[in-house]
Amino acid sequence: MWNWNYEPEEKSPLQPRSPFEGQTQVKQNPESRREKMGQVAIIGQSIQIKGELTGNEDLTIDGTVEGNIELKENSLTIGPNGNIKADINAKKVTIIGEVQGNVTAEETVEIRETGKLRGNIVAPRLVIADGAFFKGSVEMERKPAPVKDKPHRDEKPALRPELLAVKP
Amino acid sequence: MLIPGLHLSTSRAGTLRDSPNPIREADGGRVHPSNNLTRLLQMLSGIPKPHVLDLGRLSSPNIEWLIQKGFKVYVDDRITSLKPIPTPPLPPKSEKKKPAPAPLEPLEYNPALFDAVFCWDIFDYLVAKQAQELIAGIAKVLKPKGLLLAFFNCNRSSSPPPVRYRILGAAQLEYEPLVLHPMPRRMYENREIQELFAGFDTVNSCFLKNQMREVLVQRQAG
Repeated sequence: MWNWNYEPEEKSPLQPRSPFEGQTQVKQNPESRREKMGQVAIIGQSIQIKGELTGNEDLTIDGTVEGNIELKENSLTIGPNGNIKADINAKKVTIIGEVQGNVTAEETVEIRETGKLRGNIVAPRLVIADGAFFKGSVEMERKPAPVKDKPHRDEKPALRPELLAVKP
Repeated sequence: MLIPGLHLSTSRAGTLRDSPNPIREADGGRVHPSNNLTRLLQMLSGIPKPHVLDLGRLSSPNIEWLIQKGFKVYVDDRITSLKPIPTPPLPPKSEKKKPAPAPLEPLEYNPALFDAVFCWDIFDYLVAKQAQELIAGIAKVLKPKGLLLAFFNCNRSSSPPPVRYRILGAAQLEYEPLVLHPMPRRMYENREIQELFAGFDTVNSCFLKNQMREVLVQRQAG
């Protein structure tokens, strides 16, 4: 289902049978090997998701998603076969396929040559390639950077069980 | 020929002595002054965060430029989304009929939302019925006294290639030629332009050196 590019060495006991069973935890530690290797999670072309998609790692969607997508601290790429009917909130959004919904990005929204977006954009930076389709309004307002609480030296970083969860 | 009520300006923008931005020959004639853009921006200057709708070809530099000037920008590219008129099989000589143009997608915005609409040269690519539909839609979404900027090709000898209008400054546009499949382009007579904007008052209309007519009209208040 999730088209990871490698086989994990050991399975987490929290690994779900299906990520679609309620709010499911797929991975606990965002500083995973996958991120260190510069790889991203991929939702393949044959996958269809209805509901809320949230996560803490970069994601490429080449399938169909209807609902909401929240990747506030990570990049989202809508692949050439991606077909999204959802509001998107991510750090950086790249659209190569089709999106119908409002897109909010902390950094950049990029619509590539084959990309199509019907919806409103809120982002400090917008890149639209020749040949791209866009219909909607644009707000380029910079949001003030959130103040992050620094963890105490001896304090271990908290686990983030909401890493990649899908709410039906 | 001047038509009463249309207030066509006889000044050619490229030859204006006091024009702050004369045509830059170094750009291969791609950069032109635009008095009507200047006028439009001046007329909107007193409005806090004016809402503008760009119906021309998508241009992210234009979006950024307008946003930097304090506008809220809506983009709805009407040319790229135009469906080509299908070519039917050849009819018998007695039944020659022109194929009906595809109806335009309606402008789905709240009434009286926009302070200005940029049409650039899209009317050149529409048949009369489509142009009337579009102008009726624009009249609904424009605020009373809202502005509409449109360009028309007036070159009888040749049809200029499709271009994208890029705002370089408050008084300057770049006509960026596009490598596209050729699109049939019609030429409007002054009378047709006047009829097209029947529900509008003409603010300014001028004939440019590059054989384009720039028209700035304002929706009537009533």
